[in-house]
Amino acid sequence: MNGAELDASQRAAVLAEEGPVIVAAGPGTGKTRVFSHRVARLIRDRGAHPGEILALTFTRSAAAEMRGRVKALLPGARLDALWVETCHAAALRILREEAYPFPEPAVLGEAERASLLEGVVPAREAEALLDEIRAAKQRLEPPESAPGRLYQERLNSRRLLDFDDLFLCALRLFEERPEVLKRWRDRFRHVLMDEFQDTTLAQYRFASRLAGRDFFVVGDPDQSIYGFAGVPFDPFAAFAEDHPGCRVLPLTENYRSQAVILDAARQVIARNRARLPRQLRASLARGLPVEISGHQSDRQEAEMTVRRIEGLLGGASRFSVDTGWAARPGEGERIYSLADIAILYRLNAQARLFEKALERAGLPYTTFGKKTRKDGREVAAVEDLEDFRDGAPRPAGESVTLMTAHRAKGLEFAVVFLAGCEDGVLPYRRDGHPGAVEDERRLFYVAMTRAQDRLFLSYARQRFLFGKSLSLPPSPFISDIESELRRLQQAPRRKRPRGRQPELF
Amino acid sequence: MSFIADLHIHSKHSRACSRSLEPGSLHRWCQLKGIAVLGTGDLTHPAWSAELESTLVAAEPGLYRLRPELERAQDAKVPDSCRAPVRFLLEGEVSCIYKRDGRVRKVHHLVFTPSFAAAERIRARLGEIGNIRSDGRPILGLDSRDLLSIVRDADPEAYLVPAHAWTPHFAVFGSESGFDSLEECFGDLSREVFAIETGLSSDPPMNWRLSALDRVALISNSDAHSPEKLGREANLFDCELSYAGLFSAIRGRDPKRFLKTLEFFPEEGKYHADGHRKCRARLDPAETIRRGGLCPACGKPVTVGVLHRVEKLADRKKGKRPAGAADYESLIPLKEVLGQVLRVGPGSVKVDALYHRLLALFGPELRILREVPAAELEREGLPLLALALDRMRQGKVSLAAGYDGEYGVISLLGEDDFTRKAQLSLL
Repeated sequence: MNGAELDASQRAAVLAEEGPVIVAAGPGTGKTRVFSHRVARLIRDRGAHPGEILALTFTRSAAAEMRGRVKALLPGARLDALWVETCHAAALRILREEAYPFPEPAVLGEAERASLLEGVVPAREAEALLDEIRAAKQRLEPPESAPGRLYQERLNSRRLLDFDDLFLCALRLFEERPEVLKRWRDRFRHVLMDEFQDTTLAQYRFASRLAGRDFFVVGDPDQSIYGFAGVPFDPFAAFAEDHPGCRVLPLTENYRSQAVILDAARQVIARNRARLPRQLRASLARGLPVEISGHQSDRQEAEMTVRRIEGLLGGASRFSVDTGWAARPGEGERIYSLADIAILYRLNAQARLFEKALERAGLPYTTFGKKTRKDGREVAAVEDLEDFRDGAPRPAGESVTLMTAHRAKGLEFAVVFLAGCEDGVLPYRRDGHPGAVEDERRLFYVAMTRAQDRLFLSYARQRFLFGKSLSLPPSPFISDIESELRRLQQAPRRKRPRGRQPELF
Repeated sequence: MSFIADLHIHSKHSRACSRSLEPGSLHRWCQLKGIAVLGTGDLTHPAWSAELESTLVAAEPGLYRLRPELERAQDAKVPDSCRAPVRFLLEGEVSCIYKRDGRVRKVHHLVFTPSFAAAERIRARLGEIGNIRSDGRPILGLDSRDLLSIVRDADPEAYLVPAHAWTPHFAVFGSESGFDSLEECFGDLSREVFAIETGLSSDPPMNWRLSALDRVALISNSDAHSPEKLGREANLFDCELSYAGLFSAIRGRDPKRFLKTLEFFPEEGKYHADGHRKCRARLDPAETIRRGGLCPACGKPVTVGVLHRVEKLADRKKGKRPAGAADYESLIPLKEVLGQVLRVGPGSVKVDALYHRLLALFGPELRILREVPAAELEREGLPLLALALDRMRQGKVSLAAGYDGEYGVISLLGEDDFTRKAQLSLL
């Protein structure tokens, strides 16, 4: 797929008559393309003024990319009035224009939230309380506990909002002043929403208040991975209920992954109840099987992963080439560059051993995210929305990417190593908590479908995690992949590299 | 007065390098070898740089020497015949792995700076981009052109020279992951590249076959991973002893100041011919082409060596020498020669004993290899050594080229020589 061409299912979505539409966009099916073409078409062919369009994305970088793509499709067009924003940014823009609830509403950074609880609760309880406040607000309820109310008072007295207040306030504004809502609804005659599967109740209410007849949402229920602060909400069900007779248009062609990878991923997700019909087809060649390797320990897993990476780089140093430490590319294998390769894992705590192994090999890497909590939830949910790439400037050089499967959402890599595929890590389970296996299977599916050319799954028989030594069986998700699609690597024994001792040349 | 400079080595901080690559032993080994100016290696490594700063003092502009008390301690271990001043020049190697035009590129570069301050500026920039602490030769995901830009910005006298330019895996012209020209690699900055390092597996006549290289100087260095390998390739200058003096001679390609390079026989290098080491298959370029690039043993693509790569990019026949090109001499490390003379391994105790006896008698290794007259060696009762060195100096050697990481074998003596000399010695 090149240039401006669209395939049949993409074209059907782009050209769909205005009205409530769900585009069911499986991984790698070109949803960003559809989304940007839809916006461009509204302006170019349907006579929409750019200011009549509200396009909502999940992250700021997605917004920037989307804006760039629309611009490229409409050379010369004036797009200043077009809103391509994250939900949070759109809500804040509206509140600022309406000077509500303060003349100059400003948002408190995530890191500063805890400071509002100083002297309210002991520091160790702050995190749980902040979660509780967030969960309440995402159900569109103001905090009710005494410390929660105190938090809100302090916030208000400083004339600040937290991220979750943005939607609460906007919805309150719309309720209190119907003429304001009407003005905005009249303005945004076309509302589009990307990554719809990860929309929270609050975001959904906000967007659907603004949306009139033309409400176009793009997403994949199988890729929903943010059970936001534990608030169960199915945006697709809500959308269908609010818009009876809405059309569901699937994108059917996957252009990202080699067929073997896509087929393996489909076999895994098939075990989950389908919330929308699944009609995903591979359009790339078959490719090499998914490689699965078991290791004695997490340490060995990290070492062998890095050794495999050296091989995929075609040897990173003269030492590894001359000693045969890095295996030569095998049948049908090509060599890759640093930026092609990602190591994904369930918990940020798993990163450290990989970092150390990469350091020993002298390979550059970038780790995104630093902390996962014991309950396995991503702390960074909100920072994600505000986009991890905006925080620190990306180094100029290429590097191997280390990140959680959550953070890899929306990204793609030629080569993906998914580590820690153990029953208890992925799917993640806390002591005594059965865990939501369907959620975890979606996360596994998302991780698998990040891979374009090569997918490596690994597990360790012994793992040290959160201060405990664990012996866990391999993840049940691995056995969902039929054997023709995978290749089992023998757990390697510790031994010297083959051939002679390297000489000092 | 002419002097020898070896401008590319590594320190103990580089992967797979000897622990004894530290300032004191480098100072001593330079004297044993006959090297006047030595690259420090690993200037990007913070710990190595700190050690250099605490053990070296400024000498001539841009050059450094060991602190006098450390020099004295080392000099005491050097035979009188070899004693000579030693200077250091700040140098390091940076390995870049990156993708350009859809292909993976892996290129090694030498970086030179006239001062610790300039080296520090480069370290600061590279440290932001990647990990420079775990390997003296850091691997960065940086485009070669951007590395050159960083080097140039650090100091007007900081320079970048593509390292061992022809080796298959890690070089600007390498067959596996290199480029077809300096312009392709360095883009708008390519004119800033005024020299390339030819590496062990190529010699000047091979490089003369590319008219595109007429404008650059060809330098040669040891890339030593242990002190014993210092000076196995090197450069002979007759210029002002200073950083600027050396680089002005190189940049100017002035045959009166940059006299010649001291070379391996390129066949001895590890990547001269094509082949597969594991299959013990060595192919010359014509045979590789005939076989469609595939190994006769395993049927997979062979590692394409330097000779093949040169022929592929060459636009001249053999034998033409561009104007201004420095001269060269082909040498074999003395311990290898002694191994052949004594018919034992070059790493044996017997060879080591004779090596040090010769150094005490005649001076540093490079003087023995290049200058000591055969007659003098014969007078010392070493007729076979005299014969071997004589043949080496005349290029009368028998060659089995290296390939795919396997060193080549250069034979100076045949079976006849031993019987004849044995008879002679009976007379």
